[in-house]
Amino acid sequence: MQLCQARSLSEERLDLLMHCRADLDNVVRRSAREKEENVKYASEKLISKLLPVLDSLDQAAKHDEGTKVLYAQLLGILSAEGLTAIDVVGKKFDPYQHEALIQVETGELEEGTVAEEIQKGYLFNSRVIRFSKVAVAKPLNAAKI
Amino acid sequence: MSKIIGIDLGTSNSAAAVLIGGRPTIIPSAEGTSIGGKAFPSYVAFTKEGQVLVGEPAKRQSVTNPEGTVQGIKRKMGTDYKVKVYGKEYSPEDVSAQILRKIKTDAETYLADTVDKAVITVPAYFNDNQRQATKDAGTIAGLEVVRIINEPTAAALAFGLDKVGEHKIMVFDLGGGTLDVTIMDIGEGVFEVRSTSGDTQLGGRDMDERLTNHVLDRFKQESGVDLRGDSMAMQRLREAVEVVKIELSSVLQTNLNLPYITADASGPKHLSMTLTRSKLEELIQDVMERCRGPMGQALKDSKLEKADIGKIILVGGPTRMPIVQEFVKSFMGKEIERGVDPMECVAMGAAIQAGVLGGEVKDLLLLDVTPLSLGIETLGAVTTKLIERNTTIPTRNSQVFTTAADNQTSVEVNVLQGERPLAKDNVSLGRFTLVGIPPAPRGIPQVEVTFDIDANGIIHVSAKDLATKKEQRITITAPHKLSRDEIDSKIKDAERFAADDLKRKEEIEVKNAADSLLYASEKMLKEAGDVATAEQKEKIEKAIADLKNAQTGGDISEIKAKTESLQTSIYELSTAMYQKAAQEQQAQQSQSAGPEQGKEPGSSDQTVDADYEVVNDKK
Repeated sequence: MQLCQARSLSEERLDLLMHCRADLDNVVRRSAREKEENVKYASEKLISKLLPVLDSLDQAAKHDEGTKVLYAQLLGILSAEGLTAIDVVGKKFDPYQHEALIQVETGELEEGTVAEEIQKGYLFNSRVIRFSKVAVAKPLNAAKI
Repeated sequence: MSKIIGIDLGTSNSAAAVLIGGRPTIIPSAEGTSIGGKAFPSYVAFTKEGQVLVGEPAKRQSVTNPEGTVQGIKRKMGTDYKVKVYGKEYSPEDVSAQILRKIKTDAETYLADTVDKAVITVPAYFNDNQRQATKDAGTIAGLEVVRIINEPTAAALAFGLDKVGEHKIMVFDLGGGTLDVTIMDIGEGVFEVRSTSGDTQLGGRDMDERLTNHVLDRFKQESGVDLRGDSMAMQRLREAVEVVKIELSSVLQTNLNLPYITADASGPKHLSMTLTRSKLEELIQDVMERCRGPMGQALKDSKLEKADIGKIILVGGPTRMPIVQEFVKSFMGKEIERGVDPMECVAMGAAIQAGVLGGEVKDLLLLDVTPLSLGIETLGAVTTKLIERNTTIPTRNSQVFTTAADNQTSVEVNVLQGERPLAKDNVSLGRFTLVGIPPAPRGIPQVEVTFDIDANGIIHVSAKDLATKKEQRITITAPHKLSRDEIDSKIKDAERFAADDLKRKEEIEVKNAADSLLYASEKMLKEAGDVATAEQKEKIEKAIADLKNAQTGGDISEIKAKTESLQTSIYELSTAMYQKAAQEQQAQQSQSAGPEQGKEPGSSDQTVDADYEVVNDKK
């Protein structure tokens, strides 16, 4: 009787121990992976915060020649770090890269393609850090059918 | 056996968590985190091509596919409502199952294991039909729902309120679009809902809208341009406003800058304004006022007075705002509970419940931590910590120490507990002496001191001479079981005296460094007399005399200055010695460097070693 109890207790503990070991093993592996990613995307946070500045410079560049150079300079530095703008107009709408804000009626484009870019989206080392905000085409007269 | 996960299946957002090493951890969504945290929107979309999208991607395409996008399906759970999309019909269970399936996949990726069991939370007011529907949704998604628990119960679990005896609590859950107020009895692991109340159309979204409108009106006043028709400007504005709202929870005022937001005949226009927390609070005052009714109603229905409520918990993103916390606090006349993220606590509580059901949470596994740091006394009556406070036990740590005097044959190990830098301010748990160390110059013997705390909190301390393998140990059972108050007051002491203590510790370190350097310099002069020029020797001797004078004087800054100048003179000599050694080595490559050279790096390092020296018997 006692032996049985002791045996089941020891089995239970062994089971718990194995779970703890497995947990630890997984945590170690996961943290190694996270560390790797953290290094790769270390500058992501800062660059994300700089995007509004990039937007402002982009807008300003339309009015001022000097700003155009400034914009190109900043964009050059950020591109070297791995920032790329998402190409949108004329592409098929992709919810993993684009965010649809409105639909526009147009006869020129196929339904479901991006008709207009409302806010530029960016990839950082192939990961989306800001989704392109876009207007998506829908066929003319669609509302009347 | 795979793990059981906990799921917060919300109206506007959903999240999941799992116990890892006994702690609830949020499972990140595969699409990454959003501005609000680790939860994802409860959106499901069926596309014309027959694709199913869940979460962020579904939300992003909702404009292009309004007929195929479903949100807030939770409101329809347990009804006969059907979603009709592109000729197909889906029940609310089918749609919720899509959300659960995504969570299952994310959890499997995160845990690198199969996941087939879950605990899911539902609002306290859900009836049997709604609960059964939630369970069925789990089954459709391939998850065995081992239990359905109430959201406020899960929140209370996350806050650990099941462990503090019998009491009554209020859970104030303000989400993106709903308010739920619940009053419950907790006792002996039993959670009983006394009353619930709420508003299904009240939440954080109303607050964003108020702030956006305010900014638009002000801009129109200042520039004469209404941005409402400009979708590009509105997008930049909406994003900026959300950031501002979050910022205003931690700062009193912030700037909203959107240069070149638009242009008219007179040229480009910039939006730049300062927004204050008080303005935001004024704008959302009416939203807050609408919370008053449900709170009063819940109290009335529970037949309790405000004073009967023991604890108040806040759930949901908008409750991070100081004004919401302040409002609830002043309404109830009581402090609110803090410490768990309001957006994550329901999922975390579900994970805790899952852990209990999976047999993972047992007394055996409730790991303890050391409440205070442990260490030993070293030269100059300083505490050297080996185990920092709040380290999870069982744990062990070793460090090698050396002697403080020439020919020291024994070391005394004084085991200390506490946060203060000086030994006398901490509690001595015990002491023992390791004898039989072979006579040697100071700094040469190596004594390894090991701290080992087992799962029961018993501390084993051993000291071992690495040369002779002689060992001495002590076991400290139940080390001064301190009450919570005592521990807190000790930690507070440490904080209060931190500056003073640090200064004293620094003084001792300066003195120790001077001592070590003097010893090393004298030894070096003796051993390397032939390399040094008379001029160098004289300079060093003078520096030694100066430092000794300063030591008798006792002025710390003076000692420090003289130590530095002696160091400079010594470096000149040691550089010369290395150069000579290098030349010799070149000359006679077969012969190894002389014994003196071998020692020099060690002696010039002495200053650094000083604070690792074990206190000696002479003390």
